[in-house]
This record gives sequence, C-alpha cells and structure tokens, in this order.
Amino acid sequence: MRVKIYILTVLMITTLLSGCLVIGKNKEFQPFESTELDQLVPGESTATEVTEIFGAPSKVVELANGNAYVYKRTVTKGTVCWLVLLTFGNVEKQHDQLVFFFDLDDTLTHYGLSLDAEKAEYGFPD
Amino acid sequence: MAFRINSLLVLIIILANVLLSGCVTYQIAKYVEGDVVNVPNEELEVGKTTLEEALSILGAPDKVAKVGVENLLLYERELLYRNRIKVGIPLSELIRGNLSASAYGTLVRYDSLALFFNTEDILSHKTFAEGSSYPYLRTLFSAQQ
Repeated sequence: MRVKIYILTVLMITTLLSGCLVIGKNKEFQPFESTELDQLVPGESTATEVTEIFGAPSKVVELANGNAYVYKRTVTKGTVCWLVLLTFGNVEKQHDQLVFFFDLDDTLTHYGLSLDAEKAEYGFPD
Repeated sequence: MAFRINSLLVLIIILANVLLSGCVTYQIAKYVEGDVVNVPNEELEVGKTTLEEALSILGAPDKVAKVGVENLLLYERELLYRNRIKVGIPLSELIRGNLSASAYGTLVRYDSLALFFNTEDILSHKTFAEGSSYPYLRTLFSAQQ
C-alpha cells in the first residue's frame, strides 16, 4: 500500500510540476559614467564638451528655452515558468538615464541623473 | 477493489498528463517598465520650485518635451498585466487542423508625474496620475474607456 501511495505521489508531483523555467537578460548599453559629471560645470560647460565626454546622446529634444540631450541605457530581466496548466511570465525593464539641459547658446544649465538599471529583477508576477 | 481504484487513478493521472499537457493553459504575465514614481508634494511647489531643485529631488526624467512655451518633464512607470486562458485539442495527428479557443485580458496602467516649467525654469504646474491604484479585473471590465 505504501508503494502505491509513493508511486501516486511521485506521479502527481511530476504531473503538476512538469514544465520548465527560463530566465533572460537584455541590455541596451550606452557607455556613460556618472563619475564624469564632475568635469562639467553648469553655466560654463558647453554641449560640445558634454558630447566629447559622454559621446553621442541617445536622443536630442528641442525645448522652449534650449535643448536637452538624453543618454539612456536599459536592463531588462525576464522570467517565464511553464507548468502543466499554468504559465507565469514576468518582465522588468529599468533604465539609467542622464539628461542635460542647454540654453539657446548651447551652454549647460542643468542636468539630472537616475540610476535604476540595477533595480531590474527576476521574479514572478504578484 | 482498493487496488483497482488506485490503478484507475494512476491511469487517469497519466492520461491527464499526456492529454492535457498544452491543451488547457492559464497564463499570467506582468511587464513593468520604470521605477516607482514618488511624488514629494511638499518639495514641489508651483511658482517656486526650480528645474534644478526638481532634478536633484527626482533625478533624470523619463521623457522631456516642449509643450507650447513650456517644458515638460515626465516621470513614468508602466505596468502591464495580462491573464489568458487557452483551451485546445491537438488533432493534427488525426485530421488537418486543431481546435482551440482562448480568451485574454490585458490592462496597461501608468503612474505618471508631469512637471511643467516655464522659460525661467520655474515649476508652473504639475499633475500626477496613479494608474496602478486601479484594480486589474474591475478596471478591465468596467464600462469606462
């Protein structure tokens, strides 16, 4: 009798848990270092200096009183789990973003930095 | 008799494993883009807060745009939830084609903080929409578009 229960338990577990798990990571890389911001002085540095240090921006946006250069990199982490009857999928995408604001003379007025790419996590939908 | 019942149960489990695998599936999917949008209302005062202060509090915005004679800074988080049920009978071994039916519901919600700055880089107005506060099923099946 014990053997039968054991076989049944194994069969039920293999039935319910048969499936697979996939994890994946995507990275949209842009090689900017936030430590290089020390070289820039708002009110003095120019757009040319910014591009010499940080390279070509991901995006340039025209503003009402100047321009904004956007530098962006992204990390995406995905988890998919297939069971017999259930499938779970979870994708999380986070960015590191650096935005420089220039006046109409292309002089740096402000900049903002967000470092969130490392916050992307694997997991299941909650 | 007890043995027969157990054997039948074993047979049912094996058959279910073979036949139902991939035939009936329920999928739960979630997609998140962006970090949690915090709204420090006390620190963001219309007519007073400067662009520099906003950037030091909130960091780089997710989107920047020119709106008329003002600049818009948008901080945004996207949340997508999808539930899907699929029922199918693979008949391709017997006849051409398969029978299947599926139903799904996808809800995309946004938490968005929009800050508008005038040409003097002073906050002129702000608005926050917390889409994530709306529950999945009730929002998906509500009449409201």
